[in-house]
Formats: sequence, C-alpha cells, structure tokens
Amino acid sequence: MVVTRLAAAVALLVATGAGLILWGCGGRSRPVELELWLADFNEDTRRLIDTELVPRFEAAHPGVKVNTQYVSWTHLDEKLTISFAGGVAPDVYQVGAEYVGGLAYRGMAERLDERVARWGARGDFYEASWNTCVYRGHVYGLPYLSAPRALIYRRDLLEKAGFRRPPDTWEELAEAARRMTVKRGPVFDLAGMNLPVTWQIFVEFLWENGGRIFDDAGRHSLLDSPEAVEALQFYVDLYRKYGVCPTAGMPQVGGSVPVFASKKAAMEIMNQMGIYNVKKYAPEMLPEVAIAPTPRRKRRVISVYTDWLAMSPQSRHKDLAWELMTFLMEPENLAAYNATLFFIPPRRSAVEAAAFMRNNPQLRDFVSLMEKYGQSLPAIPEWFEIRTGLLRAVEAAIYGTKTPEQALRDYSRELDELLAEREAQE
Amino acid sequence: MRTLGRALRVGGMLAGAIFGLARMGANPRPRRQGRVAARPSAAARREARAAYLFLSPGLALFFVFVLIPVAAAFYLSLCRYDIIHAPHWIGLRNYARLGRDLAEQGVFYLALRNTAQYAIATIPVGMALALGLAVLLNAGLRGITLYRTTYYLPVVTSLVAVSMVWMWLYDPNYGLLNYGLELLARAASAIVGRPVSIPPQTWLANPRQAMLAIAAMSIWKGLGYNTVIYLAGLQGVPQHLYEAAIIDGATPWQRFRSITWPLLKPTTAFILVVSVIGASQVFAQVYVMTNGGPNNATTVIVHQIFQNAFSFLKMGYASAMAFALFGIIFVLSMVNLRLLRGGEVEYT
Repeated sequence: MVVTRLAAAVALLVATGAGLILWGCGGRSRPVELELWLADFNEDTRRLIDTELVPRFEAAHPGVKVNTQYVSWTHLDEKLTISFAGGVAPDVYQVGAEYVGGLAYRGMAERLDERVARWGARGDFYEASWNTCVYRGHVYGLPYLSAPRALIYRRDLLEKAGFRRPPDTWEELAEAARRMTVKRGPVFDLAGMNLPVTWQIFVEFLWENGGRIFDDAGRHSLLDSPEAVEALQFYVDLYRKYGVCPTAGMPQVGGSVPVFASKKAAMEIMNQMGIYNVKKYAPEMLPEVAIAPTPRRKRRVISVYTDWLAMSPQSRHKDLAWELMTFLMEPENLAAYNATLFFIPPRRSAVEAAAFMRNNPQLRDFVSLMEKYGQSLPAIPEWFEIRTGLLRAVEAAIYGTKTPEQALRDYSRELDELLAEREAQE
Repeated sequence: MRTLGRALRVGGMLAGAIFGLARMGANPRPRRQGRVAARPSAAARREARAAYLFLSPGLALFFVFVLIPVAAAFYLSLCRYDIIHAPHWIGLRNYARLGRDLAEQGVFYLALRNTAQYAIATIPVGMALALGLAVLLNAGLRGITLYRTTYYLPVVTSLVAVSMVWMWLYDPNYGLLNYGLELLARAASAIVGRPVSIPPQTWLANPRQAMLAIAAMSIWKGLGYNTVIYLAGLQGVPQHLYEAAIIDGATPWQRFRSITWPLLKPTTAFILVVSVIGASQVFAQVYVMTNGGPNNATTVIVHQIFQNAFSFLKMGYASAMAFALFGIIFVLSMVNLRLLRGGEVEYT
C-alpha cells in the first residue's frame, strides 16, 4: 500500500516537472527584453517614459520589450556595482558627471566610438556636455541632460546696493555681496551670497583662477599650486573675511523652500534649478531674477554637469540598446525628457525643439553661457574618492581646522598617492 | 584559480575550527581517568549523531551566511578587489595602509576617534538614564505596561525614520530645539529684566555639535531597550532583601547601593557589552543625518567601511577596516567581561 502511494507521488512529481519543462520550451517566442535604468526622474518623467516613449519604441521594434527601472541616486552606485558583479547589468543606464573615468576603467561602459561615427549627430551636442562622456579620447555614452552653473542674482537688490551690472570679478562679487548682506548679530536676514560648502564651488573658483585639479595625464595633483590656494582662500574669505554667508549655509524655509527662492539671499552660484525654484516658490520675484557668468579671476568658466546614458558591455542586445539610446536622443524626445525635469537638453536641435526653453529667457542665457564658456569635469577613474577628498579639504579650510594652504597641501599629497597607486596597477 | 584555492583553504581552516567546537559541544571529550580514556558508548554515539542531525540546518545556514562570508572577507582584506574584477593578492598592504593612516591621523584615525567619542557620549549616559528609569518603573507605578511600551516605542521605530524626524528637530531655523532656546531666552529676559540672547545653534551643521547631536538622538532611541533589560534584572531581585534592609534601617540610597546595584551586575555587564558593540557599529543615523560631515566630524568606522566598499569600490581596504573593527570589538568585549566578571553577589 505504502509502495503504491509512493510510486503515485513520484509519478505525479515527474509529470508536473515534465509539464513545466514542456511549457517552458513552448513554441511561443519570448520578446527580447532591454533593461533601462534612469536616475533623473519625477512623476512627469515616469509618465513620459512609460506611456509615450517606451510604447513608441516598442511599437517601432516588434518583439522588443523595454523594462524601465527608476533608481534613486542614493542607491545607484551600489545597484550598478552589484548588477555588474552578478552579470545582470542593465543594457542602458544613466549616470552622472563624475562617472565616465571609473566606468571606462573598470570596463562597465561600452566604447561607442564607431557607433557614434556612423550615427553622425556628434556635432549637434554642446562641447562641454559631450566631453562628460569621453575618457582618454574614447566615447562611452550620450549626454542626456545638462546643468550649467552660473551666477543667479536679484537685480532689484543689486541696484539698491548701487550696482548697475552684475559683479564681473571676484573683488566685485565680494563687494556686492557685502553691501547686500543684512545681519542681526550672527543671524543672517539676507545673505549677500548663498554659498553651500561644496567641492563644486571650489572647483569653479579653481578653474576661474586658471588652476586645475591634476595634470593632463591624470598622474600628479596640481592642488598645491598658488592658483588652487588662492581659489580656496577666496572661498574661505567669503565666509570669514567678508562675512556674506553663514558657514552652516542658510537654512531652507520649512526644510523645503530653497534659500534664494525664499528671498533670503541676493545671489547664488547655481544651475537652472535656481530659476525653477523661483518659478515654483516665488514667481512674483522672477522679473527681478537674472543670470550672469560666474565672476572671473583669470579666465571665464561655466562649469557644466551632465548626466548621460551608458551602454553595458554585458548587454546581449547591443544593437537594440544603441537604437534605444539614439531613440531617446531624438531632439523631440530629448526635449520632452528635459522639460519634465527643467534641465537643459545637451543637444542644440533639442533646445530648439523645446517649448519650455523658448518660454524661459533665463534658460536661454544658461545655454549661451554653456556654449561659450562651458567646461566639464576632467575624466579620471578616481573621481568619487577625489570629490570626497576635495570636500574634506574645503571643509577643513572653511571650518578653520586648517589654513587653505595646509588643507590643499595635505590633500594634494594624498591625491598623488592615490594617482600613483593606479599608475602602479597599470 | 590560485586565489580560489587560497580562499577555500582559509574557509576550510575556519570551518574545521567551528566543527571542532560544535563537536565539543555535542559530545564533550570524556575526562581521562588515570591513563585510560573511556570510549563513548554506543548510546552516546547515537546521541551525538542525533545532535548533529538536529544541528545541521542551523550549521548549514551558519556556514553559508556567516562563516564563508567572514572567511571570504578576511581573504579579500589581503587583496585589491573592486567587485568587478577578480581579487588581486597584495598581502598585508591594506593593513599597512590602515597603520599609516593611523600614524598620519588620516580619515580612518578620525573615524576611530569619532567612534570612541560617540561611545563615550552615549554609553554611560544611556545606561545611567536606563537604570534610573527602570528603578522608577519598578517602584510599583500604576500603568507600568503603558510606560514600558512608551519608552520602548523608539526602539522598534525605523532608525532612518527617526533620524529624519530628529533632523527636523535640529533644523537651525525652524527646528523645535532652537525654538526652545528662543523661549528660554525670553523667559530669562523676563526674569532678569533685561534682554538675554541665546543665539540659534546650527547643530548638525556645526562640527563641534554634530556628534553630540547624533549621540543625543541615539540615547533616546536606545533608552527603551536598556530600560527593559534593567527592568527584567530588577524584577529578579528578591523582595525579601529589601524588606530585611528596611527593618535594619537602610536608607533608599543604601538599599540601592548594597542590594540593587550589586545584584544588577550581570545585567550591567550584558548591557555594557551590547552597548559597546552597538556604538562601535554605529552607521545608519550618521549616514542619514550628516553622511560623516561636517568636516568629517561624524564619520565613524562603519561609515568609512561603507564608503570605501561601495563608493570607492575598495573592497579589500574596506574588509581590512572591518577586521580592524572586529579586533577592536573583540578586545573591548573581553576587557568589559573581565572587568565585570567575578564578585557576583548572591544574597541568601
């Protein structure tokens, strides 16, 4: 009896297994699936991608299914690393301005030189945006959105302080900020300048002063140069000598309304999101808000941060992945995507196609500045470590635990060691 | 292939050690009587086999999810490894780098120092508050369950959510704490009859205050756990000892000093060891509230491990840090246990 039951159970198991195998090997052909990961998104973006762009791409490519994942920047690095380690990397994925060196060096981004040459749209992209995807002369992606940083200022406050034009040099910047600052003891009612403590602001001043972070070959730090020390000293002086902004940064109203849009600052160095914030939180202020090039020292520079699309070398459908990338880069599609986020399309024809660009004079100012003076971050595999180290040096100088010279000398030594480590590996 | 072989060898050694320990636990070696060791009987052998059988699911999980990863992490601490490519053996270079960082007072040194500061700021105060609260709750208050639940609520709340709420409390312009300071200044002005100003603090954005601000939040978060443990300890103290002490005319302080505190020694030892381990591993609140800043004032060991592993892809160096942390916790736990061992009090 027991044997009969056991035999019946085994037979049932075998039959179920065989059924599953046959079902799996069934005649229906499964669609080719492309994985797309996007990190810059909001509700509008998701709607655009999920209900318009992806369905259109799928309709034009029967048998292809695009799975879009929206990944927050907070988790992107871990997710990407783990997916590559596990051999399940997305076919197309979005990354930021500091990524190209690391991805190319580790073999996590496909080299696209030949595809780009055949595509023929390279010349339509802004130079600074394009350079974000280039490492050692090779192209590893396509620029998807750009954010140039410029001086955003209140025209009315500047006029009241006796200035007819925006500050053009560091000295003018400090003086204008000083005149516009309103303080009650240590408390700022109006900061002449809204300046967070970031490595990006230091890099901006460094470039304006003719300095660089490292040499062309990416082998030696140049952070102990007089240009770098002067740049950091000026940054520190804005807090300590001129006292035009609080060290801790101006608090945001209710934790969400940005400082400039809450009328608590007269100027800031910011990308186009500064304008977006004003439109959203203080539209009545918009006519008084203007854009100018960031004040210069030795040269004029507008730093441009571009997020871009990369293709995974692990992709089993590279041609389709490339088609998806170029589809998303079509001027109308690129314009629509950037419109949802209020970023600048990195492609000239997309800027022309974008209605939101036509309706915002300040955005057009950003574009012309980007075109004239734009500069992207230099590509190097160690950017994540460098930005952490740069921030450490900047904070040490601004919070007064080291002089700018000490802070940069110390970090420069560390950076030299870091770069030498890679050289030894190569 | 060679690296895999090495990994397997290390894993095998550790596995052998663990199995040996398990064997000792399941079937302790019989004591030698004179010169002849007694052979285990057939019944004992059967018992041991049954023990292994019942232990096997747990041991399998332990092997797969604890022992092998730990062995692999140790192997990786001797390699350069970026997750994408195969590990490259570099010997003790990661440990040498840690040593150099400590000597030059680099970031790892800062992380160690900050972790120690965090432990010093949270453990004594947290334990003292928990003990005080437990004594109060043990005093036969009505509605003790309600109080216990209330104090325990932060323990079961998500650390990330709690960190976000405390960030709001610490907001320099609109936070409750600075509002409290403003009210305090107003009250002080009314009392002294002239304006008293207490400037708003920047808390998490101030390198001098940030670690203390995180420590205060952590004490609040962990208070309920320590209180409940102390409360359990207190409820194990025999009531008749207090009654005898009262008859002898002992004051409440004398009763606490001579009865409660000595009998709570094992509980205190447990809480201390757990708190030291917890403080050494602090991460989530640092990651959410300050991300190690400002000016590295709140970077801690686990934050550095995370940053090196997942931002810089230096898995080898991060693993070396993890083993340094293991060593620190091991030594501290041994010291704690030794300091608190012995002298256990038992009144009859």
